Amino acid sequence: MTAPAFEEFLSLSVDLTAFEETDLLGTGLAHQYLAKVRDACGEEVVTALLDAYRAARAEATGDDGRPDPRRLDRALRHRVFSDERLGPVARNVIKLWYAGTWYGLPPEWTDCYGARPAAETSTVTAASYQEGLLWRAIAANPPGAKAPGYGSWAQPPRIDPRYRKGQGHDGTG
Amino acid sequence: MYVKFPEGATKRTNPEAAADVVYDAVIVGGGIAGAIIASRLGAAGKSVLILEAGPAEDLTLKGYEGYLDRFYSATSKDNQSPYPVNPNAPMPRGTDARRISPGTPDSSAYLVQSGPFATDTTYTRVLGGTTMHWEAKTPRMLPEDFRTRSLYGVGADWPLTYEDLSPYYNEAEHEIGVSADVEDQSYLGVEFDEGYVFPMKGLPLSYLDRMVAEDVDGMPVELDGVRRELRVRPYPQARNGIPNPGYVPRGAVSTYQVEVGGRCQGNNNCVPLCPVQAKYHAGKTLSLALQSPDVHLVGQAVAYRVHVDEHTRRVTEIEYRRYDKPDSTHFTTERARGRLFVLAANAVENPRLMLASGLPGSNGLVGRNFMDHAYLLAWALLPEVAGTFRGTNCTGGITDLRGGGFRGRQAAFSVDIHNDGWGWARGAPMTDLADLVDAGGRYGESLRQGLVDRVSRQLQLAFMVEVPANPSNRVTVDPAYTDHLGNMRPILTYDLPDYTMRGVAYARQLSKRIFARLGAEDHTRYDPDFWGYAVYGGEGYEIRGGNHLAGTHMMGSDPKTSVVDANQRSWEHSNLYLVGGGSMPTVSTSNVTLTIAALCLRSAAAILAQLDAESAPIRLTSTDTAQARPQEVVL
Amino acid sequence: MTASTIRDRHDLIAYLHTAMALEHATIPPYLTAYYSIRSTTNSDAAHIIRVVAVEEMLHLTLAANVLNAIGGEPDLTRRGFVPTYPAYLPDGEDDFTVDLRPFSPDAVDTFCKIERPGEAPRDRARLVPEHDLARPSLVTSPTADGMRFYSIGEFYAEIIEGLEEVASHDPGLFRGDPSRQVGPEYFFSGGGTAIPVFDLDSARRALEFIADQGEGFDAGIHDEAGELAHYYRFRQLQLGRYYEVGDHPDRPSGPHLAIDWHEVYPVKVSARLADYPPDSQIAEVARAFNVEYWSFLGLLTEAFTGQPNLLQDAIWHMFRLRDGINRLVRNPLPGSGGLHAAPTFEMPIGRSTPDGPLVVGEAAAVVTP
Ligand SMILES: Cc1cc2nc3c(=O)[nH]c(=O)nc-3n(C[C@H](O)[C@H](O)[C@H](O)COP(=O)(O)OP(=O)(O)OC[C@H]3O[C@@H](n4cnc5c(N)ncnc54)[C@H](O)[C@@H]3O)c2cc1C
Ligand code: SF4
Repeated sequence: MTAPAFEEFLSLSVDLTAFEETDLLGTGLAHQYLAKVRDACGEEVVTALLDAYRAARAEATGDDGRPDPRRLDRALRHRVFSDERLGPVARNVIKLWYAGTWYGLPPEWTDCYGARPAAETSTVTAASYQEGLLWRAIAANPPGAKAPGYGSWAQPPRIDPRYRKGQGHDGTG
Repeated sequence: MYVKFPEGATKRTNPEAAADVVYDAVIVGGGIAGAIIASRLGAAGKSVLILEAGPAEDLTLKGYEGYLDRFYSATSKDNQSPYPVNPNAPMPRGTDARRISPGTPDSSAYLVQSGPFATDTTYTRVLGGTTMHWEAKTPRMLPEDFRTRSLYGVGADWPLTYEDLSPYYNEAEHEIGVSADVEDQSYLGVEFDEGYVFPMKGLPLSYLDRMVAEDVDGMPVELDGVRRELRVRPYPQARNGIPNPGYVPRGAVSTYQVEVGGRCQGNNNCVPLCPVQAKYHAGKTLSLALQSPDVHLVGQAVAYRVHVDEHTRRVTEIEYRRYDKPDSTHFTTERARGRLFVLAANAVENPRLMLASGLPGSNGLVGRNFMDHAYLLAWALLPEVAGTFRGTNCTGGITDLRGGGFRGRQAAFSVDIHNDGWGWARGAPMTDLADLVDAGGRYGESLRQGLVDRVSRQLQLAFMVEVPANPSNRVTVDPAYTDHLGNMRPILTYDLPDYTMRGVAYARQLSKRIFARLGAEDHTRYDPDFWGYAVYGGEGYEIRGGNHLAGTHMMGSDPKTSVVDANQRSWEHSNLYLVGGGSMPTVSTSNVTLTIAALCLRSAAAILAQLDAESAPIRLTSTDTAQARPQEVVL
Repeated sequence: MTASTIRDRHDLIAYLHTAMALEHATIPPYLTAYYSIRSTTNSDAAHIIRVVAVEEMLHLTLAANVLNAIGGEPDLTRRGFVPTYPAYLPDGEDDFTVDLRPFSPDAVDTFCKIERPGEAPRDRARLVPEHDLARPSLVTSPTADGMRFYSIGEFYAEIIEGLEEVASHDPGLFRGDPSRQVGPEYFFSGGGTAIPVFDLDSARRALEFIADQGEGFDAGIHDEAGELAHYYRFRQLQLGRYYEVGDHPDRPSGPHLAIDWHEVYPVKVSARLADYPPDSQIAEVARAFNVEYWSFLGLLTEAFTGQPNLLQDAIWHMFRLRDGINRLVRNPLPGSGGLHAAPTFEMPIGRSTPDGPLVVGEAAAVVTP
């Protein structure tokens, strides 16, 4: 696995999940996740996904050298999410980070691009379930792990106001 | 303090040698019912042999963590996911449930279902039994629950009253370690002894409960001409909280010193498995039982047949099949002999074993009157973020409709507020995630926002509706259906009476009122393709199983209309006790296990009295005295 | 019997402040080792270390109870409360320091040394000259300049004798506000419950509990209740087997432990903020952790000064700290040649929670005596 690919995968994952790089590395699973995507979809698809992502970023990057969020959103929709081959894979990467589970790709996808044994629904490791970002997003613990402590459930949830209904900005923008 | 499991206790008994011992008591099943009786008999110096169908390894923290790992790794996190598949001692699994077409039993899974109503009810066949993954709510039954026939003309009366059982409830609450406060639990006639305190203080209500309580407390409900006000009330729970003076909470079970299980940490995983063993499981009582050197345990021992003396009708031995490994079909046939026998294999396996042994009882009641709770779920989104998915599975609920005159007409229920959102109804939060990403096109910030909006506002109410005894709801066997070891599998015939369905329909109406009072968006839709879809009064409902198995060897005061007496002793076989939920004449609106524990504590006293009273040796059917007899022979 | 270094209540207060600092000082090394273990691996070791860490929290609470009982003012945010690692320990040897290390044989050796039973050969030797005043040390005598204790057990023995001595001529010694006492309703772990302290007897019990649970002072490997002292818990990691009651200290006979030294994040030993690339995201995370830890200590201070119910919040806080450490140790530390990040436990300077922005990172040079 090449280091630049890993860096790019990480950067893609930051944009897909809205969690910071240290949070993603903080799961201890980033390398395993990239390997999982490779096993499930093949090297070629991963390369194409990262190429498309690079292109999307380039397209969205303005004169200040930073991608503009609105333009990046549009570029990702056009180049990645709506792509027959890359869209389902990108959505699976999101779910992989959030749930710790690799979901089997839809049959339309496997019919076109081939089914690999590793493509079926599976957890990556016992730890991946516990590290699902979903739980952090809703300020809860994964049931069965990372307990929050006796009685803490009586307190209001520690959810950042920007993620509460009606109080946040439009996340895609 | 951790609970010391005596090292080697699961291996110290050689089944062949044990066959030559006549134990004071042979117990089938190492769940809470068996463990309680074994512990009390062992403490009184009696010799006991426990036969356990599941693989019996010493209970260690590491072994327990094996369950945990299996759970973490499982893609389906249903309530049997921590437990390995074992074809030699199979168990039902919630995911097995299928719609039953009339006249064609569904035999695709261990529990054969001949319907008409399908259920996903489960139990676990591992050492410690189903309490390994129970949720551990422990309400007492109401005094009126013991007399529903006389009071409401429904179900059957118990040969016991609340007052008779009350001291055993006290003892049971201490045995399993219940956290609750007397003030909260004294309602609808439930009374406690002067000065009684639970072992531990009640668990705090969740933030979600409190949010619901803000609007629901004081909500008027008129039923049967009686007006009452609802309130959110904490449930008593068998999980470690803050101890009251003098009580030392029991932590994890292990052969070596560990400090785990002090206090519930809010893992929200009580079902299927509490990672820190703050939740009670029968391994805790079993470990204490095995401290007595005279309490023996043989694992991988599936009781196959109960042998009865033709003339005296006393049980002479239990024949069991001992498999070598969970994944091999090889087994040896062994026998267990004792002065008394106790079947503690639960309300499905007890009658299954009796019926497979050709012992349906002269009144034919063994296996009949199967009961469970019928669960109706209703789900909604609260107007504000409640932080759902935190706390134990359930901390509070509405229990005001557990009793009252309306029970002459319709079933009573209690209502759980689920801290795990729509998990049970709709597989939240993973289904929400998939939906937001795949159908909603969400990612990044908008996904995070969407998740809070969709998941952290979830409210799910679970109505646990009573099912009265009905002889045609029953467990049977048929040689056409056997398992790997040649044991006949249980066949369940089950339907929900109109009485229950009236309660269900009322529950759904009430849920709409509650949601309206909360300003919550009702998202409840019952899917006609759901395996447990039931239509009543033109409306369809999804009904789920309650895992509260009861009624299949009902107790009573008349041998003609019951299987066991008030001590859970078989009317027909004077040295046989059938213990557990099967003895209960009503399930009413209590999760059954605390009552099972209380009944077993009461039976333990009766068993000890019988052992002391019966000095006459039993006639042995065996003639081979040539084998060396181990020293434990007690005659 | 040599002259006591404790003459009056003020001396006792100084000693008990030191006791709290000492109990706390063992927590960061235990936490670092514990959380460096990869999740779902090394279960035996993880449990042993975790339990000891939790019990150190209990000891900290007990020391606060004694301090409160005699009218002292616990303060975990005071300057120097958190030592700078590596720090020396007073066990009479000068061959090791306490580092913040990943789980490793070295770490376990250090833990054994921290908890090692050590009774000075003669009473006179209880206090020994501080060998190196330039370096921070965990247990120095707060009243006898330049002296430190032979072992933690000796240190507590000195306090207990001091308490007895002072109580005998100062009837008002236990003048503290009883409502500050933390009782079992607020704190229990598998390994014991908080003992409220109101008089000499309860004070003695609290301190003896600390000493016994740590090192098995004179009780052997198990105490009467069948509890293993910390030292022997760690010995199990060295010897590879669990003890059973009645075992010889060198020959545990219980089940074997499974240890895999490789299933560990290679965190940088005693990392400092200065080791982090400035302005990096990970440096920000490390700094944020220290701020969180600092507010945790502030919360504990409040719990120990009249609001014992806050201890429950402190425990939730601790669970969140756990998530913070986990996140750190899984991140590579840029420029360290493949090592991983780790919490630095560098606290801001000051006597209590500052109102202004926290100055973290400069603390190192200042906190040492
Ligand atoms: C998901 C779930 C949640 C629950 N929540 C609650 C709750 O909140 N409150 C409550 O009160 N109850 C609850 N229950 C029910 C509770 O778990 C049971 O009532 C209780 O465990 C019954 O105990 P038992 O000892 O009678 O039977 P079991 O626990 O089923 O034990 C029977 C034992 O016998 C063994 N056995 C079976 N067949 C044989 C054989 N042929 N030979 C030898 N051994 C055999 C089994 O392996 C097992 O060890 C729940 C159950 C489930 C599944
Ligand atoms: S909430 Fe958690 S810690 Fe508490 S009993 Fe349930 S699983 Fe165990």
